[in-house]
Amino acid sequence: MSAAVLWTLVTLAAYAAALWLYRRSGHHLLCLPVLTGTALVLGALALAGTGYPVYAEGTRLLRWLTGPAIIALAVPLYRQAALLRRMALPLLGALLAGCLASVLGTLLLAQGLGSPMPFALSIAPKAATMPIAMQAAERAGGLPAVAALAVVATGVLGTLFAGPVLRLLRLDDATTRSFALGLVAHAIGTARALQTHPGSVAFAALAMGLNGVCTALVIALLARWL
Amino acid sequence: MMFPFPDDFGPRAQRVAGWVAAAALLAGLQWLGDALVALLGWPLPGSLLGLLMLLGLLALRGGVPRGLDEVTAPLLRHLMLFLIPSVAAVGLYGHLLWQHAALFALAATLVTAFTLAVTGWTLHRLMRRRQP
Repeated sequence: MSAAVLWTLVTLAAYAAALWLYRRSGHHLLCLPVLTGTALVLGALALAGTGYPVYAEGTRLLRWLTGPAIIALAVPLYRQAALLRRMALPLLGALLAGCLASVLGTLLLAQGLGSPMPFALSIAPKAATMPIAMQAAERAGGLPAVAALAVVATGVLGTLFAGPVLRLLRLDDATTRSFALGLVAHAIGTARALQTHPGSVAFAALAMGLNGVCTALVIALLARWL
Repeated sequence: MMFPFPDDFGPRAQRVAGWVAAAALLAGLQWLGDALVALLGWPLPGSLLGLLMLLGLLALRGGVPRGLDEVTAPLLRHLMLFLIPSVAAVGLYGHLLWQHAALFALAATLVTAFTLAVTGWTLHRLMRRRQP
């Protein structure tokens, strides 16, 4: 069996097991399939004594499919666009403010701590949905895998913090909460909005799609300029 | 091959043709996005340009074709599968993450809470101004 077939099958098996575990755990945040699936793959690589470059070469087809999947995000985004026509100014204003707060906040923090720019650029797209964040980081000279971890950490913590932070500021209406969850915590926050505010989940889905696009554009501009 | 209900063949073939057309469209947009990015030298992912072009096409057409809907749904549902091979590279960067753990932790907590506050405050203010 060629290495490409072998490692693609191993990845599929790890994903299937991770999905099963995620469902068994009642969709627990720390059992996200991308985390447990990656852990299983890393275990298999260690057992087989295979290096990451061999694995990466073997899974080129799976990695290539990320591109068409990002393009496919246009379909849900198009379906939520009716909301945008109805209240364009508040939604686009909040999008721009939130996106800049996340990206510039991270870069300023990195500067304060004296962290190197490639590492900071890997973490800066952390509020975007994972595939876009990873590709944006890579194109800006960062590390996609580090971006993925920052995306998961932000999604989990953003979902936990959204309620307390917005209540503290007395901003706790359903529209604001859903939009903020989608913008900051991407798919993880959108899943939470579906549970807690099913009536306004469209705002979370819209915010997730818009911030993916906006973050990639802002990171690209900054990467040129920095 | 047997087709006990020859009338059934038409719609089925049409459905498969819809899937093939949708897959070709996605692959074509990916190629075009990559080509444009390479040509212009922008530090933007090619697939993001593909996303924007598809959004424009859907807006021009005024709806999502059934074939495109049926091809994109499984791609989106299993997005995490395609990401696992790239995320597995963390094995290479353990030392780097440890070295910059402070930035990682502060960005994940402080910047995340700050972003929630800025987003919520801006949206709330702009919505109130619109409906006094």
